[in-house]
Amino acid sequence: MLSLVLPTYNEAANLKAILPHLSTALEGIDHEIIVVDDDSPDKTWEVAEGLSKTYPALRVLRRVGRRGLSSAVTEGFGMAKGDVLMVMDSDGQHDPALVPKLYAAVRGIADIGVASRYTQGGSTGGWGGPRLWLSRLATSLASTLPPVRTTDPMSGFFAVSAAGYRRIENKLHPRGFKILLEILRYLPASSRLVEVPLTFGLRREGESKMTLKVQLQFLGQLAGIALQRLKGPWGIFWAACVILLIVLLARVWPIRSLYLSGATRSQVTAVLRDVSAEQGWLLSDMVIERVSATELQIRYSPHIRGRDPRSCVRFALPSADPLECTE
Amino acid sequence: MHRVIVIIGIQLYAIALTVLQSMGNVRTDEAKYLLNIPYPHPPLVRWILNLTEAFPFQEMLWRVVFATLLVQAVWLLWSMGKDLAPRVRIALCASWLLTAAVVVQAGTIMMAPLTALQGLVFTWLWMRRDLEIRRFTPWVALLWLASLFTAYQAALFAPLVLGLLRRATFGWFSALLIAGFPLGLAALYALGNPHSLASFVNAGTDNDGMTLAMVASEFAKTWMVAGSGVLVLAGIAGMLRGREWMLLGTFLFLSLYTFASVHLYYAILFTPLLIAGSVPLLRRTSWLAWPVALLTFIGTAALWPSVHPVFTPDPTRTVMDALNPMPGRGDVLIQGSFGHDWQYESPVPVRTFTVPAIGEAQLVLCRTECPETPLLKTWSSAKIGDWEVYKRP
Repeated sequence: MLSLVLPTYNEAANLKAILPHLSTALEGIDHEIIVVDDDSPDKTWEVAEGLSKTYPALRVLRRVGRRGLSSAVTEGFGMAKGDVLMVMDSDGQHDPALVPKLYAAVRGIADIGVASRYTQGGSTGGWGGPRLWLSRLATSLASTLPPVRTTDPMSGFFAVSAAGYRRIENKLHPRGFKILLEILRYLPASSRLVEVPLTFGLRREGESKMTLKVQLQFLGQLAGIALQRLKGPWGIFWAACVILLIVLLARVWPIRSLYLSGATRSQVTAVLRDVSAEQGWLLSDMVIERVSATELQIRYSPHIRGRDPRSCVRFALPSADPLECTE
Repeated sequence: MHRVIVIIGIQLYAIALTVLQSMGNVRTDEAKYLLNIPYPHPPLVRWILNLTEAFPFQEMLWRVVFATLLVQAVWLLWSMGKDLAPRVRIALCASWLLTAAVVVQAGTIMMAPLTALQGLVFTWLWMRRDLEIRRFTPWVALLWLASLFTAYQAALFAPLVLGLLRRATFGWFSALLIAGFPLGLAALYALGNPHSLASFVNAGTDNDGMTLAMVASEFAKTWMVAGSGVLVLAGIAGMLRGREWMLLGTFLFLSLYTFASVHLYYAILFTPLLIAGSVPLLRRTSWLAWPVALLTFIGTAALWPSVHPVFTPDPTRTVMDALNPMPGRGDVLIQGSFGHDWQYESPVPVRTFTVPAIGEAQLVLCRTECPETPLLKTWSSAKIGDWEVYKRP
């Protein structure tokens, strides 16, 4: 049996529009539809309860005092009776015709089926410009992290076998929008995944729930997955990259004037040449440590075998007379 | 047991090449890495070398290590030729061991051979299509990061790294992120080390003063050394016949860079690509294997006198050995241009000769006559080879 979860918040009008299409798509399939509503101000839960008279397979869960798409999905999956658990949006952006395809895939050959915008045949529909590029960037970041890979780890339209889900449901931390990413994080790496192309439709009614808070939660989720995978070589790679980034930025920051100001650059070059001509110091023995419009600080360290002597030297630009460092 | 004997035999070959190399003394570029002088390359390997700076046998230790790595890398070639007949595989490996680039650069303490080895690993993974590449991709990423922090020229193998990530079914965005982030970090390191940037600018002017014909001639010589002549033909023919477009693209990318800044030590960077390129050719025409190996040996023998450093040793060690132990306290001043090998051979700091610096010096060395100055009148002078030497009383 299929358990299809529809998480809703202010989707009363969209719910009335989508249920007939779902009913047609699910003809011949033993199913239940669970509407999980976060106590919508437009009383979506009440509309759903009214529609359950027309659609006997419809069940409604009204969540009072709890918000969030991911937690709505996990609560819906928690009360589901089917052996395949599915979730989709009720705002018209997900095509109900894909429901039987995903169900057949998970029943037959896969542990998880994902309706993907980025697989062959899929599309993001009317998206363009910054929204498309942000989505691609986020998808690329997210797709490298979980052990089970899909081209669209942020899809909100997917199905998972109930048996596989029950094995991991206690580990999940449902936050924000991206429950699929969380599930992929905990499924075994050997899980079989099937993709079905999705053409993302335009929202019929209402407004998007993609707020800044949700986007920050997503970044936090990515960080959590990344930390979990730090045990493996990918973790070592990305940890090394992040550490290097911090260390190298700390090196570049004190000498940024060298690149930002042509006048400072000319003065520094002239001072180093003058010092070299006067003292005989080799340029390769002088390391620039700090540069500002008025001051240059270097470390003079002539290279020899064994311990190199080191001294800190300061110059008040544009003078090449060496001064002692203050630190 | 048979394999152990082969390993020992190859190792003896590596040691022989090391001994030859050491007869040329430490070169200026080698001294840069041994002393951890912070340009032109990033710090990973020179930091490791620097840990042994106080060892009296530092130079020989690392010559043996570098030669061992380059010569024992032949096992990657053996693996690459997995589907060739045994005698063909042996000829392929012999070509690697006998090519002029390996003979001339085995035992040098330079970054180019290390970059070539890193490139050889990427090339080996590329050619071994039977391996499950996804298993290796995190190690590819780590090796890529390490190679960029060994030497900037590793960036020339970026097409191969991208190709490996794409073969492992990473999307373009992910592959560019994994390959591009370390490149960005290497660029950030260069920004934090202005000497590196200055050396890039200098490298860009290396060909100044050379006519196009001279540049082309030097470039052709680099190719010749890379494959001892015949391997260049076999490698390119194999890449074309085997439709190894990724190898060919990387080869052309490398060629463009080398043409713009031609140095003989870049020859070794081409060798992994040429050897790998010859594998598809040998699959179809296995009888070519031993003739190619023989011609490689002949080409190396012909090129060797003109390119091996043992034939152009610097006088640095001779001069400094004659001056050691140094009589007193103070630096060594050297008049005129000189290499970092002087810093390596001197037990005290070395500076360029300037009159004000005489007060802090114990020795002054001049390649020609020292400038006239009353400060040196009381100093004792001597001639060592072509060098005029003044010692503080």
